[in-house]
Amino acid sequence: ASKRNLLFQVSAALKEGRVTPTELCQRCLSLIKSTKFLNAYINVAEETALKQAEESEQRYRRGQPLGVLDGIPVAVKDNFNTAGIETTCASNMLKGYISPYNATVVQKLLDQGAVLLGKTNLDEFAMGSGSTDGAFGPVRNPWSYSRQYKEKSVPKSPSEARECTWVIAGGSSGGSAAAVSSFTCFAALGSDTGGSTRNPAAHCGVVGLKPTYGLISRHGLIPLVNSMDVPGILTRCVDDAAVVLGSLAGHDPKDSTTVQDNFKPFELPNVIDVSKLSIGIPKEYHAPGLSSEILSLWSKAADLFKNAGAKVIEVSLPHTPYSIVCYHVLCTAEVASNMARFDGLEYGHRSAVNKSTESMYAATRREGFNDVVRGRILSGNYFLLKQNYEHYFIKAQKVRRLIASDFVKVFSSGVDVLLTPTTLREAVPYMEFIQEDNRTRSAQDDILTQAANMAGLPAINVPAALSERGLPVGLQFIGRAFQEKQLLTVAKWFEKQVKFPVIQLEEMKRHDQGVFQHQQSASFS
Amino acid sequence: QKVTVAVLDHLEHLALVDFRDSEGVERLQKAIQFADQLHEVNTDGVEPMDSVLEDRCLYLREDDVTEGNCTKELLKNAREKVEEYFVAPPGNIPLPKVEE
Repeated sequence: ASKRNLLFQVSAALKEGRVTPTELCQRCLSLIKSTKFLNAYINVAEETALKQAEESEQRYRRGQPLGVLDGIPVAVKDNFNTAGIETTCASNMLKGYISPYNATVVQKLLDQGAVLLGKTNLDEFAMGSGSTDGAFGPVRNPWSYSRQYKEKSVPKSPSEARECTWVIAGGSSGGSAAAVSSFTCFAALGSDTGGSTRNPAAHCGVVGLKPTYGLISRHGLIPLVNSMDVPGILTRCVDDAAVVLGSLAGHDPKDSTTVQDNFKPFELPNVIDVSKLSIGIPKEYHAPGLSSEILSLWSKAADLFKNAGAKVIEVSLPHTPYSIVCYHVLCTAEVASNMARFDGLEYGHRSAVNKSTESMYAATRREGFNDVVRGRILSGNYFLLKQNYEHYFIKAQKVRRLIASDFVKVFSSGVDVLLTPTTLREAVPYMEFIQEDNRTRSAQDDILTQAANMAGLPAINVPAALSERGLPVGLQFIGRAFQEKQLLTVAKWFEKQVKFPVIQLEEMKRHDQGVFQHQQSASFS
Repeated sequence: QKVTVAVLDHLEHLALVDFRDSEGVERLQKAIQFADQLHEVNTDGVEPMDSVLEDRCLYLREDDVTEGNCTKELLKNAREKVEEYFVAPPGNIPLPKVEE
C-alpha cells in the first residue's frame, strides 16, 4: 500500500473535519502535561497556542487553510527567538528574556498556520550531547518508559527501576526529539552544529534532518558556531521532514549566509528505485567504540541497498578522525566571540555588582553561564590569543578544508549518498552519562555527526531498529550539498524497508485513542 | 607546558569569565592538550577555510532603512535604563589581577 506521510494524513483529517485544530492542540497540551516528567518543554505557550488553533479552525471552516502545516502543533528548541515568549537557551543568562521578534524559521511556520505549543529543553546554549546540562534539568528519553525498554531491563523495585535507569535523550536538541517521540507535537525544530539534531533523533527513534548550510535561515537562532550552525528538523517520518523543509528553506534577506539559489519545495516519490544509486560506506566511520550491534545494523543496511541493485562501495574520508579536534578549536573560538554579547546591559541576567562595567560584566557572566559555557569561552579565547592564532585557529581552519575536500573527492567519484551510523551506541542511562564531563562526552558522541557540519553537507538520521536493550538505534545518510531531495528519497526508501516499531508508551494508554491511535498506526506500513 | 598565571589572568580579562578554581584551569590544560592533536595533520600548502560558502558571493542588500523605531521593544529587556539609555556602571576601572 502506498504510504503517505503523517502530516498529509492529519491535514486531510483537518480538511474533512474529522478533527479540529483546537482538538488537536488540546490533546497535545494535555499530553505535554501528562508527560511532564520527560522535562522536554521549558515553556508551554498554552494561551497563544489555543488562539492560533482557533484561527486555524476559522480558516478550515472557510475552506481556506494555508497549507499542509495549518493547524499542526509544533515545538521549537529554546534557542530560537519567539516573539512574546521567553527564550532561555536553558541558561540562567537568559531567564526572563522575552524575545522581541520571531526567528525567521519560527515566522515561516506561523505564516503556514502551524500552532506553536512551546519551547523545548536543551543543553545550555546548545553545548552538549545529552540535553543534561541545562539550567532546567535534563531531558528524559521517552523510550525509558516504553514497554520495549522495560521488557528488556533487569527487574528491580518498580520505583527504583524507573528512577535509576532512565536514559538520556541525546543532545543538544533532546527536548525537541523527546517531544516528537512522545507524540506531543508533530514536528519540532532543533539546531545542529556538531550533530545536535541527529544525535537525539537517533536516541529517541525519530527522523532528524540537518539541512545543507546556507539553505535555511539562521536569523533568530541564537548562534553557537556561525559557520556551522543550521536549524534542524525533527519529525516522525521522512515525508514529514520534506514537508517542513519545504516551508522553511530558501533565501532570507535577513541572513546573508543563506544562498540565493531558487529553492523549490518537493514531495518525495512513493515508488523509489535505488538500483541506479551509488552508496558510499566510509570506512573511517567504523570508529573505535562503535557497538557491535550498530556495526551489524550498518552492514545489514548496506546489504539492503545491494540487494535492491544499488552500487555499494567502500570509500575513504581520511581526515574524519580529526574532525572532533578541529571542531573543538573552531567551536570554542566562535563561542568565545558569540558569547561576548551577554554582558547584562541590554538583555538577560544582570548582576547586582555595580562597581565598574568590567566587574559587572564579569559577575553577570559568572552568575549566568554554567561551567561548560565558561570553559568553552576560556578555551576559545586561548586559541585566539595572538601567540596561538596561527598555531591553533588557522591550523584548525586548514584541517577543516581537508575534511571538506575529503567529501568533495568522494562525491565527485560518483557516489550519490553516504551511509554511516549516527551514534556509537544506543542511549545510555543518565547516571552513567554524567560520570564523564561534557567535553569528553561531546567528543565521543559527535564523532560520527560532526564532519557533515564541517563540510556543510546535508545529513539525516533515520531510525533503523531497536537494540538488545529495547532502545532506538538510527543510521545516517549524508548527501551532496543542496541535494536534499535525493538524500530524503534514499532515506524514505530505507525507512520503508526497516519498518521501525512504534513506541509503546504505557502512560499513554489512558489517553483518548482517536487521532493518536490513527497517527500511531499510520507510522508503520 | 603549563599555562602561566600571566596568561590565565590575561584570558580572564579578555573573556570576562573567571576560571573560578583549579578545576577550571585543569579544564583549560586538557582542552589545549586535546587541541594539540591537530598538529598530527600535514597542512602544507592548504589554505584556511572560513566558510563552506566561500565560492559564492555574500548577499548584500540595498543600504535602505527598512525597519527600526523599536526603542520601546528593545528597552523592555534591559534591567537598568534611564529614558532611552541603557545604564552601565562606571568604565575604565580595570579588574583586579588574578592571584596564584
